[in-house]
Amino acid sequence: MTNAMNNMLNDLEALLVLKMADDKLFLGHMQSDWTGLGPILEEDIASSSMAQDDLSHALVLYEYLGNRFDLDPDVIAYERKPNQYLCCDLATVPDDFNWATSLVRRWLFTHYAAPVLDRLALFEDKELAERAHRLRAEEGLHVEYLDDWMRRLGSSSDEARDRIQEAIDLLSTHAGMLFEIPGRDIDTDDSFCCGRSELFEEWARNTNGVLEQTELKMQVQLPGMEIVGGRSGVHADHFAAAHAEMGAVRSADPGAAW
Amino acid sequence: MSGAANPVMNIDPSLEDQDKLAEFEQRIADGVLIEPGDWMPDAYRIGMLKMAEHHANSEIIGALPEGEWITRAPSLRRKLALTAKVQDEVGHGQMLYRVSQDLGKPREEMLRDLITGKTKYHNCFNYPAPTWADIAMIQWLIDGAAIMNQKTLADGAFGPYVRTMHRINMEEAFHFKSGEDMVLTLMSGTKKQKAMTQEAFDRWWGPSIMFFGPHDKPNCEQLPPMKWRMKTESNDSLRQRFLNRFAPAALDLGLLIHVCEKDEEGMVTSKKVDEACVPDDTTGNWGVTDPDWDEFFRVIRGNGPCNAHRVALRRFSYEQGAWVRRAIASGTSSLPPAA
Amino acid sequence: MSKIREQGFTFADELPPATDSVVGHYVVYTQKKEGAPHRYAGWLNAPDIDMATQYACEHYGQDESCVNIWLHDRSRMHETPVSDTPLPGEDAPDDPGATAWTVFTQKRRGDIHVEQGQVQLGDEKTALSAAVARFGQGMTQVRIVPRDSMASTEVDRVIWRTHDQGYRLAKGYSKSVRAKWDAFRKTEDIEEYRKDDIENHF
Repeated sequence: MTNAMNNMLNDLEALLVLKMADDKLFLGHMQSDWTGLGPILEEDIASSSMAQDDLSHALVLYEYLGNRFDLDPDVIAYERKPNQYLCCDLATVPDDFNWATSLVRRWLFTHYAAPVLDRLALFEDKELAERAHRLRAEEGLHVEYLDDWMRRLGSSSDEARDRIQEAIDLLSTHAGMLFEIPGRDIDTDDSFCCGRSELFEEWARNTNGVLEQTELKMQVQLPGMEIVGGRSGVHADHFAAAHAEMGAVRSADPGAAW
Repeated sequence: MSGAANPVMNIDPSLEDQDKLAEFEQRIADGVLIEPGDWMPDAYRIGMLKMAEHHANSEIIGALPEGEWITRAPSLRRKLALTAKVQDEVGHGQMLYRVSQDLGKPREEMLRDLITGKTKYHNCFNYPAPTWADIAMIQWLIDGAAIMNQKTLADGAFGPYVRTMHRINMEEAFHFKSGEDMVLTLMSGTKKQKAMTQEAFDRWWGPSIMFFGPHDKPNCEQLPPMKWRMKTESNDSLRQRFLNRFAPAALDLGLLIHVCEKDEEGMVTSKKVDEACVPDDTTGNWGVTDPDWDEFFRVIRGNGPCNAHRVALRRFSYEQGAWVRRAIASGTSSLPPAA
Repeated sequence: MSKIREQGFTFADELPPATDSVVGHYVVYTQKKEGAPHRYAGWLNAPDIDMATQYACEHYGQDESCVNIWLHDRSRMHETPVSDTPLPGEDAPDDPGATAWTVFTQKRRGDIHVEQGQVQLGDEKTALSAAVARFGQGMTQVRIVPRDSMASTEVDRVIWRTHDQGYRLAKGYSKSVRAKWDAFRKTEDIEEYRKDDIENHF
């Protein structure tokens, strides 16, 4: 590991950017795999555009970090050890090409990403604020699109509602860990993480606001500060699998240009 | 990518109204484009429907071999480009199915015919893409060939198909350029990368030569597909243009052009340099050893390395997504208004 | 590759029953720059016009830079036949209380339809005739669509993305490709090869 990489990983503000970038990278990684296999052609195209947004957003944030710490964005994206990634568990829970899982995952995440980007857009660092502001405008498209689908499927046929409910039940157990704080030496509730409880409340309000218009239900608690997971580099096996697959070509010939 | 290298069409113009047919053929000869409200022979309507359907099927199945590599693309930009490229193919499929839908066949029926094997798609997607360099080769050679072909199809006579071709060609310029960039990068790279690229080239050169379809009948220009400008250039003429462009480019990059034998999985088992692949002294046209057309027909009949897998994955996706389509069809009229 | 893409599949003998999710058929027009006419981009299927608008933005809105999108159900448009001789049309003064119709024309066979303006007249027959008289000179076809049946993207909606789109455009690769060829070919040969790209293929 280079000094530059260590500098980045020891910078608490950089970790806030990195957790969003890593979430976006792995969410985009999971969703882009669907391209060509979606349930309706038009839907396939639309979701692929949004997967590209997520990957692009990751790139925009890695570029910011790369400029700041003198690192190649692809090196940040691909070449860290698994425990140096800060993405949440939710991003890499396998969906087995079940559209309900994919949809609910993205919906849970976008309601988290939007307010976090709002807060990053207020940072004093102008370059970061400007990038977050642009990303936020596009995140808004995801919120609108995914809310629309949740309302449609959550109040259509019994079959569709049951499938979405099942996905909510599976994924909501991971949703609380979206709010985990990276960097163990931050111990106050509202410091670097832009106010964890406040963020959680905003997320719960917005997601429940959509569910109230459907027959769907969701229960999520904010986990205690002592619980560690992805944002602390403690990952589930499915993360390791996704990470290995993502780097399979690149790691087979280290140092090569692609 | 595509391959309207041509579904088999048996067209019998003797069944048509001969006066109207003569007028139609004159209009085509005069370069007039046919729009859906115009009189056209039944065989033309059906032929265009099948051609657009075959082309759409090829886009939808063509999304699968490259789709396999999105998760493993070795840089963020390549990952984005490959996702966008595969997405374009789905988009092209959607636009082309629309042409056939307007000529009378529902999309659902076309998707079902594809996964039950009633209709076909382009042969080249029945070959495997076992390495990242295969993705580079597909985008460089197969998309290069597809653009050459589609450029001539955009010069055809059926308005809706021509409009779609123009839009598709605009987007496919990126596919080819991205492929060229990948091949150049790999051939400027490490020993390992170069070796992987040569192997991928060996796998894709044959299918590229066969891409344009079998040799033409001697009177092809007088037969309906060309006479009615459903296609505007013969298979052999397109193939020659492809060779003239890509054979010297491959050699300049340091690739060797081989004649290969392959096993049932589509992997090369033996190869020797193609001595015929040199430019002709007088015409300057590049030669090539005639490919194994038995293999071509064997793959068309369903016995290529990946036919079963491609269709099965498409069917899996169709069945897996059925509940979403049912939910949509069950009506959203009771939908609460968007917030 | 992901495991499912790799796996073998087993299926029931029968396909699940056909479901026609093709509820509506929408015609899509995109506007490249503010003030420019909307031009036909393509068509799509969707359950209703709200979802159709989202689909249009994520497909046709991403093909090239675009600031606004219009779309309408295909059943709502009225058209003249495609004609090689001048179209007959009779103008009439706009009626401010009547339906407003957006007018699109096709210049030549095979061309795409382009927005020309608006007529405001009671029924489709008079409206189409007036549209032909006002906008149909030298056109092969005129199409009118009632303004109130057209959906439009909201004024501030992001359609074309703000992050670098070079990865999905041919021009995003030109420089890099040019530079890499330098290692393999003489400059004049590269120029020749590139000319071939532009003239014959793209």
